[in-house]
Amino acid sequence: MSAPDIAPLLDVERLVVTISRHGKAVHNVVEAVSFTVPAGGVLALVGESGSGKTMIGRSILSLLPAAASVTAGSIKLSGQSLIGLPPARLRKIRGGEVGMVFQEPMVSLNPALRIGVQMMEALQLHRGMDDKAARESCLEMLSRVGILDPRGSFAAYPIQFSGGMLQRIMLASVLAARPRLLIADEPTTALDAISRKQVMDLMVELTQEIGAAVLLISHDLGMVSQYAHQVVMLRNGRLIECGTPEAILLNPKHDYTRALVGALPSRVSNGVSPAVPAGNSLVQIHDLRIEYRQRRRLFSKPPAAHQAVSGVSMDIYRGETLAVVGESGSGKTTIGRALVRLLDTTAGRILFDGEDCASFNHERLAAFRRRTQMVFQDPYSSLDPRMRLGDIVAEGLRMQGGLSRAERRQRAADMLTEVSLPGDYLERFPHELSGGQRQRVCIARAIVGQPAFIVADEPVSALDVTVQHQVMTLLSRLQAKYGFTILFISHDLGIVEQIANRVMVMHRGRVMELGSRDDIYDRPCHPYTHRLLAATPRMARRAEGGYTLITADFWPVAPPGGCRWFDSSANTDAHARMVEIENGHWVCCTP
Amino acid sequence: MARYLAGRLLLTLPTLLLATALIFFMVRLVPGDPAQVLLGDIENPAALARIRASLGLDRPIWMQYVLWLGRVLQGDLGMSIVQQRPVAELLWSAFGVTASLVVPSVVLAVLLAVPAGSLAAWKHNQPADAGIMAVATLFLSIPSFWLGLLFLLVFGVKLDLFPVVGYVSPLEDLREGLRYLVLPVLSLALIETGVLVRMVRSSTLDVLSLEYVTHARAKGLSEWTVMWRHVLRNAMAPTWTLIGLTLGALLGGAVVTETVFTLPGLGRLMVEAIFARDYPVLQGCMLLVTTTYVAVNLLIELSYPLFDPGVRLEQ
Amino acid sequence: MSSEPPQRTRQAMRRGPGAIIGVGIIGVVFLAALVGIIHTPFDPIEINADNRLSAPSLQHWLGTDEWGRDITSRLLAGAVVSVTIGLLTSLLATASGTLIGAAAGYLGGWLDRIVIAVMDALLAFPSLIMALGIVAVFSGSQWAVVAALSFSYMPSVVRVVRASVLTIRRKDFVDASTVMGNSRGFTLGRHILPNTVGMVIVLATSLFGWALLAESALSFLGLGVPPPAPSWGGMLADSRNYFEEAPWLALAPGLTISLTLLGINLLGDALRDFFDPRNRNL
Repeated sequence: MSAPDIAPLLDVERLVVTISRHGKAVHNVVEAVSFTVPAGGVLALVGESGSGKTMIGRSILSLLPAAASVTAGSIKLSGQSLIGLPPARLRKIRGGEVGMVFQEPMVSLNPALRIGVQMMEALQLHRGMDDKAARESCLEMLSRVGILDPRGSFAAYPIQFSGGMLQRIMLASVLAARPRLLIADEPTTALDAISRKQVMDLMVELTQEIGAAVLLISHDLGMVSQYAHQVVMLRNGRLIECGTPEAILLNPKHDYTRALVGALPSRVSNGVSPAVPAGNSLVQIHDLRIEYRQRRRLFSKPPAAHQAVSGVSMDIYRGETLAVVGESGSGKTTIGRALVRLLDTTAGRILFDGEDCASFNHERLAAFRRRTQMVFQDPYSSLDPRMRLGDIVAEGLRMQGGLSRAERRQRAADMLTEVSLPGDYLERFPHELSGGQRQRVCIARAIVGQPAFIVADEPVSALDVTVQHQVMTLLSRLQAKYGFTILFISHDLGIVEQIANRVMVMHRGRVMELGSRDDIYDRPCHPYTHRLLAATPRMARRAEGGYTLITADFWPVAPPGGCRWFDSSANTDAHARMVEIENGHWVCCTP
Repeated sequence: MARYLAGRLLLTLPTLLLATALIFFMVRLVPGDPAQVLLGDIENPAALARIRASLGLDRPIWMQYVLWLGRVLQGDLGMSIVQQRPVAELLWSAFGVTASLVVPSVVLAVLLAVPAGSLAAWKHNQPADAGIMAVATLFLSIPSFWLGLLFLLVFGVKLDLFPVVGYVSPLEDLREGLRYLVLPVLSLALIETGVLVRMVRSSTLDVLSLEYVTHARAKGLSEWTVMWRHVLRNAMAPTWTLIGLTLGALLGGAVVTETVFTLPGLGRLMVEAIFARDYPVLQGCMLLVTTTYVAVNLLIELSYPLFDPGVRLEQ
Repeated sequence: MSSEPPQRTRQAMRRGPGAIIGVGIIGVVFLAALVGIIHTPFDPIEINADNRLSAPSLQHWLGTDEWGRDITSRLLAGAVVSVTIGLLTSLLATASGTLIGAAAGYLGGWLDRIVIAVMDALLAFPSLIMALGIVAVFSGSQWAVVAALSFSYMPSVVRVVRASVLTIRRKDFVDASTVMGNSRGFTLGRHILPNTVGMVIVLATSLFGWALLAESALSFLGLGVPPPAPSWGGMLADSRNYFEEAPWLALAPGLTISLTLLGINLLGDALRDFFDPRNRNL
């Protein structure tokens, strides 16, 4: 793992972390894990939830929660043990020698204090700078990480920044103290794809500049493989396998690693035909516009309406899976909710099976609701915690009419079996289930009435990779069996590659590009699609076994004659329109 | 910022209007002729006719309310039936007494509760925490009037340290005035301290579990710095609101405490007015109490931008 | 078959003797009230002039008051009054407040705005002050006290329930119910209200305590249940004139009120822990 004659910077040996309750040990969350990080190296701890990776990171700086403690093993920084240090020495190490960046920048910074104050804290503590020198150092760091207005940002509050910017500020503030080791605990999980790439690139750049080593903790094997020198796979607190990213991807030794790598989304795993099922449209959208208007405050100007969706037109064909991909704020979720009539639209028309949705009276709305269903993103809030699973699924049949209670129960039981949950689960409550199991119940509830159209709003985003794979496979199988149409909303281009017939890329309320799966992944045209693909690491299976990472790199494509590519950050006027480049492949331009 | 202030101010107006309307109508609910009700048991046809005219009883009810409100805003709250003096005068002197009771109680309660609650949260699940919580729970279970009675019994009667009845204004004679206030303030404040300690502890615990506290520790800051700079300020915001509500509880509690210690404040005035059916005085007391309560809560809300930059930046 | 895991109940009970003590005390109080309805050792109302102000003894466990009445019996009879008023007030305020708050929170719109405006106006009155006002107008009976107290606590219930409903409404399972085609009324009754149960129970328990305290305060002031019906607050008020001669007159009722309130608080705390969302139940 490390060359024998160079002493490692961080040496973790047979570490055991135990959770105890009421003084009694209950459970080892980390079981005899050993690894080393050389000076200046990048080592990634990769695992799903419950793997213990976060606990390891926290134990290095003794930041474990009250119930957890290190009960065996050693952690050494340059030969000096970090366990059992007296508080004064520990505080010197924290921030001064070892810096830490956390997952959600929005909550990692104190909302009541200015950015500048919080940045200077560490500097003044560890480098003994006075106010003036510390301020200068911080301003320098801020512009180094690409913040456009360092002085203004210095005096601003966290709430005024986006997640990506805050994470960059965090990096700036932690690395300004020039630690020798940076622990990054899921630093980009809460960010959009494009911000993710920016922040990771920045992190690697900065740490190389100051010569710091990085301990990267993540669940995202794909992302980590682009940056790490060594990868350590963890599962249930145990070390499964370790090696270089190439070794792990090309030649995973352990069954679990093989399963994890195989579960990474890739195109071929399901053999879904990219051909567009020709023919009639189930849903037609004409020039849809949805605005949000904030509530007026007394004595202020009425706030400008926020255009969540501006001028979207497209068709959804029967039986297809249409993926809508975009970052947060792109409008993809808004469209999904409008299609199931959870939201009102401001302008434009939605036609379902030829009928205008706006003209629905009570009866037609009820009929519509029988044929349209939704699967939600958060498995922890989409099931009523007070209801048993059987009742939850059977409720989907309540408005179907003509079925007795016993029949509904039977159908619910059948559905649970259909989604591979054991029969006796009928009587269980949601809190007894894992995230993946809950999503299966959600799916069962959605299809129990055999709807024609399902809107799946980021159904797997909150799940572990192996579980994602299972749920996606389940969805494909059910669609093949029952033939419903799916609108699959996601922020991750990688996930939808295996399941989509067509893909629609959205940005700031407009469609940037729409085409078949192959069109989008192999021949993307719009610069935004290029950026999104470049920020999405994807796997491709090699003929000789194992997987490689595809990092897409596309040459810029010239727009069709007479147009410029629509750049949503520059102009917000409404002259953008969709131009068909090849059959079924549309791109957004302005004259 | 000025817009925010003006907006907030304007939003309290409907509340005040509705509340004053309630007070106005309340008296009308008393069975009998409203004019006679306001006059009391006196037989005086001339006075009755005068009151009837000034009430405008022949006009629609909302008009009567407006007339009454108009007079109130000019300071005319009517005449006390019992004492034959303007209500406003009675209120004014009584208000001073109640204020000298309630304000020190709030201050004392806060001064005791904030350190105690923060300490309990800091030492969560340790003996100090359990001890503080036990004492707090004990105190808030005691009725303030009983505590007052016990204090009177022990310190006033048995030990003869403090006076038992009556009142001297601290404005006239500070030392004597304070002697009269010690026991009542203590009996009010200690109960409220119990309530506040639990709230401070709870909100501090919430803040302690937030990520930015861990992050502050990861920077190497000492526990003391973390508590002081990062935790307390954010835990104070919900506590600040609570102080407003505490005031309300104290205004209610003051009624009983004033009775126990025979202090001539608003509370006692109100109770006596109820017994004597002195409705103008009753209305006046309720008006003053509610207006003060709303005003204080408004001030607290207006001071929010000091704590929460998010509010300050709201455009 | 797996129902609500009993493990949580065991955990809650292990969390401290507080819950047990609380339940114990409340149990005793309710028992006392029941006993008080049926039978007391001595007649709590009848005057017995030769036995005035006697100290606690074997015959009269807590002594007698200035009219020669047995204090223990009066405490038992007072328990009936306090428990009845406390229970009725709690039930009335909780029921009305929950309905109004849930409707306002879920249905939103102009209904919500009117409810908030009215409740804000009502909340401008400290609750004891409002109770005093109502009692002043409708003086005289037990029912007036119940009505007054219920009316003064209802706005707080509305506010708390409304806030809770607003949180629940944002959860996906509420949207799922709409997408399934369920009517708003069904969603409110089947999905939203049951998820407020925990909080409502805790609230009702607290209200019971506040109502008991407020009733004692009103009786202490002489504005509560009319005499000669015994009440704890009234007994405290009467004891003031006899501090020197008979201090036990002040101790017994005060101690009773305090212990009862302590029991209610402990029980309320235990219930709050039990229903804590961190226990993975709303």
